[in-house]
Order: sequence, then C-alpha cells, then structure tokens
Amino acid sequence: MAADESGGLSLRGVTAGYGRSTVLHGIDIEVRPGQKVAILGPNGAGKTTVLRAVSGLVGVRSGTITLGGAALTGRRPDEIVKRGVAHVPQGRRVFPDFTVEENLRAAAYSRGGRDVDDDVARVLDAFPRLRDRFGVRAGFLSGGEQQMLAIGRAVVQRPRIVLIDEMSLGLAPILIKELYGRFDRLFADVPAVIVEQNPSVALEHCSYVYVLSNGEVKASGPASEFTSHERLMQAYAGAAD
Amino acid sequence: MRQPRVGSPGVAVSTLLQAIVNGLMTGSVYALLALSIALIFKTMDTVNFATASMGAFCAFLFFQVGTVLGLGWGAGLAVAAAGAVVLGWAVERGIVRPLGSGDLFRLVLATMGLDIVLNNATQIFFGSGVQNINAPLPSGGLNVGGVNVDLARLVILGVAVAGAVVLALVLRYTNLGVGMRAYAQDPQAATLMGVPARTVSRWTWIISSLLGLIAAIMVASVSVLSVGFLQGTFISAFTAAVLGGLSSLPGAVAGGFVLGVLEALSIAYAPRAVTIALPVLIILVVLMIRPAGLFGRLSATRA
Ligand SMILES: Nc1ncnc2c1ncn2[C@@H]1O[C@H](COP(=O)(O)OP(=O)(O)O)[C@@H](O)[C@H]1O
Ligand SMILES: [Mg+2]
Repeated sequence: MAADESGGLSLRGVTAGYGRSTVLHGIDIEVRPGQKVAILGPNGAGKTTVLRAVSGLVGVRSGTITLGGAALTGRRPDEIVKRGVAHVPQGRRVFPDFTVEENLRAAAYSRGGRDVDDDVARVLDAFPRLRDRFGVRAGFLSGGEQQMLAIGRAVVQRPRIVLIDEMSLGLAPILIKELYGRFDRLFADVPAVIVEQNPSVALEHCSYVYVLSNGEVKASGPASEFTSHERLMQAYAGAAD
Repeated sequence: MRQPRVGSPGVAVSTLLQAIVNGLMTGSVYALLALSIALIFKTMDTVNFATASMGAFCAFLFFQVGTVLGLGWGAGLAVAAAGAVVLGWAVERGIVRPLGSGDLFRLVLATMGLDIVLNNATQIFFGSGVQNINAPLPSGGLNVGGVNVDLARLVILGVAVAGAVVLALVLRYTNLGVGMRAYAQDPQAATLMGVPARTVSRWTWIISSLLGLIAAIMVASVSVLSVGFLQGTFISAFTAAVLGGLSSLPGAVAGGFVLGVLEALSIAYAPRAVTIALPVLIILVVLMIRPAGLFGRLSATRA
C-alpha cells in the first residue's frame, strides 16, 4: 500500500488479451518508488502484454492497475502517458522519417512540445553518438542508436515510471552494458519495469524479479535470490510446465 | 517583343509554353485537392471518396450565403469554412471513428456511400441548377512573351500554393502537426508519445475538408457550380495523388502539377480521346511501373 501512495506501480489480478484470446491470467506485480523491477520469461510468456496493459494499448478485462494510487485501468494511452508512464516499446519504434531531433521533440507532445531543450541536452550528453546523428533520419540509424533514441524519448517524457521492453534485443554485449549503464544513470530515481529475455543483464540492474510464463507469474523475489543459476533455471522450468 | 509568324518556330514554342502555363494553373487545383486526398491516406490509411461532394457542398454554402443571401463573399467564405470544419468533424465522429481505423475497404465503402448522400443533400438544399459564383477574381490576362496568362487563374494558382505552404507549416511547426506526422509513421509509437489517436483523426478530416472547400471554390470560380461539379476534378486529383505516391504530400503537389501539364499538352497535341483517358492511363502506368509513385516509398510494413 505504501508503494501506491508514494508513486509506485501496482498490478492486481490483471487479466488481459487480444480479441477472444486471453494472454494474461490474473497478474500481480508491485513496483515500489525508485525500484527497478525485472520481468523475465520465455518468448510468448506475456511480458510485452503486461507493459501494453499498463500503457493502455491492450484492454484490461479484470483487475486494476494503479500508479501512485490512481487507477490507470480504463484510461486512454495518451492519458496514461500524461500521468507519467513512459513505455519504450519492443523493437524501439522510433519514427523513421523523423530526424533524431524531431523524434526527441515529438516525445514532448503531452506538454505541447514545449521546454525540450534541457531534456534534449541531457540525452545528447548521455549518448554522444546521437549528437553526431542529430539531423539524420532515424530510419538510417543502427539498432543501437535507435535504442539510444528510444530511451532518449523516454527522458524527454519526464516520466514517473519507465517501462522498457527488450532493450538488449539484437545488440552486441558491450553495447548492452553501455546502454544499461546510461539507463541507470538517466533514470536513477525513477522506478522502472525492465522486460528482458536475457536474464543475466536484467538481474544486474534490477532489485526485484518476476518470472512470467503462459501469462502467469511463476516466481518472484529479490534479484539476489535469482543470481544463482539453478534458482533461475528452476523458475524457468516451473514456467515451462 | 517580336511577334511570332505563323509557321515559324516561334509559334511552336509559344504553343508549348502556353500549354505548360495552362497546365500549371489547372495543376494547382489538382495539387490542392490531391493534398486533401493524400493527407487522409497518409494518416488514416484510407481514400475519402466523398472528397468532391464534401467540398462541393461547402462551395454551395459559399454561394448561398455570399450571393443568394447577398451577404458578400467574405461572409460566404466564413460560413463555408465553418461548414467545412463541421462537416469534416461530423464525418470523422459519425462514420470514421465508429467504423474504426485500419480497415481500408470498410472506410472506402462508407465514404462512397457518403458521397451519394451528400450529392443528394446538395441537390435537395441548393437545387439542381447551374450557378455562376462570380468570385471576386480579376478578369483579363497578361501577355508574357506571346503566352497568355489568365489573371483569375493566376490568383487561383497563388491561393493553391499558399494553401500548400500553410499546410506544410502547420504540419512542421505546430504540436498537432508533429503529432499527425508521427501518427502517420507509426500510430502506436505516436500513441506512446502521448498523441491521442482521436485528435489526429479529427483534425486530419477537418483539415482535409478545408482543403477540399478551397479547391471546390477555385474550380467553381472558373467554371460553374452544380451538383457533382467537382467529380471530374476529384478523378484528376486522385490520379495526381497516386502519381505522387498517395501518402506523400510533396508527391501530391508535384503529381498535381505534372498531371495538369500532361493534360494541357494532350489538349494541345493529342486527340481528344487521349485527354479524356489520361487519368486512367496514368494510374495504369504508375501501377505497372512504379507503384510507389514518383515520391512515395514502398514503406516498411507496420507492426
Ligand atoms: N497483437 C496480438 N494479437 C494477438 N495475439 C498476440 C498479439 N501480441 C501477442 N500476442 C500473443 O500473446 C502472447 C504473449 O505475447 P507477448 O506479450 O508478446 O509475449 P512476450 O513479450 O513475453 O514474448 C503470445 O502467445 C502471442 O502470440
Ligand atoms: Mg515481447
């Protein structure tokens, strides 16, 4: 409850899906203020759907989602963004015809596109490569640069919570390490939900872990409990049932 | 200025120049209406087959208030613009939103139905007569090096260019415009940036409706106003939009001017049948040789 009142994210018994199929079966997830939480699990487990349910892209059939105690469920995605949820989607989804600069400016839509200069400066300081590519259309960026830009958009959004989906997908290990480092610093005090298929990276940067499979939470606990390989394998194995 | 003699190369050159000038002027109207079509296609993934009847209905409002009621063209323009905004809003709210986006075929059918309804409504409200709207345009022409430039059409060209420039500025520099362009590229990503889908949809239809109104008044002011008078121009504008890639706004403008010039050249040099068949021929050729149009790209599929 304390998490709710001071700005945490809380999912209680969330059931959601696409069309007639139900993907999430009563999910409970708790993110306390300032906490970094990982959602791990095999492909098709429903990790992306959890994030989409939070940001309103997928309708929640039952259960509630609250941010700082206020309900997000039933609100439109743009209202949820306004309430402080930044969702960095799987596959980055940068605007390919916009330049790096235009992508960053578009992220300030909710506040009328104003006061972006300081945020843009912060993004460019964190990702100097984006400075070199500032006037380049995002469709021409490398995968790593696109991920930097997608994170940069979340910075411009000035969120109360960040959801990031498969940050490491398709990137070289050294780049993954760099991106996570930057992410930690850019969102030092902001709670985050980090979805990963790559458990070792996520475990290093999160304090709490949920293991998801077939739309259910199969295990959860402090990240330290999952650092032993066996424990994680057990959870995944349980997940596979 | 030397007077070209009959049979001299000067005549041939001035005929060609005259055709190009005429073509650019007609093309400007195509360009503006093509912008109206392409804006909807780019953002909403559908073709509005009621473009012509929506614009025509509002042009009748212009005539009714300005001329029939005698309140002057300023009042007529204000009422017609308000009508275009309300009509664009109502079509989005009443047809587009309930049907849901992303289904090209359903929306196309719906706009075809709307076209019939609006043409009938126009006839019921304003009658089936043929009207001259007496737009406040200059008469006469300039003679520039043997080429006659009709002043009324020159003003129309100016209005079309101004309309296109204003649209470009709105899309580039306003928050709504940035949101619309983001939404056109990736609706879901735009939503995650806080762009409300319904705001984008609403304003796309309103702006498109206003462009249609301007094009309708431009056409009516150099020809006549009657039920269905804009249909022919719509076919040309649709061709121009296809030529430009259907989802490219600069492409739509370029396509409009190219089609205008091709049409004028065919009037000057080719049998009448070619001129009549020109839009269909162009659509066929574009679809066969370069389906993405002159400016369009076969874009990456959306997830
Ligand atoms: N847009 C969609 N329409 C229908 N089913 C979907 C859609 N997206 C995902 N699914 C299904 O939902 C399940 C969970 O998918 P997802 O949340 O993407 O899993 P994860 O992110 O863990 O890989 C999968 O079975 C997938 O096939
Ligand atoms: Mg996923």
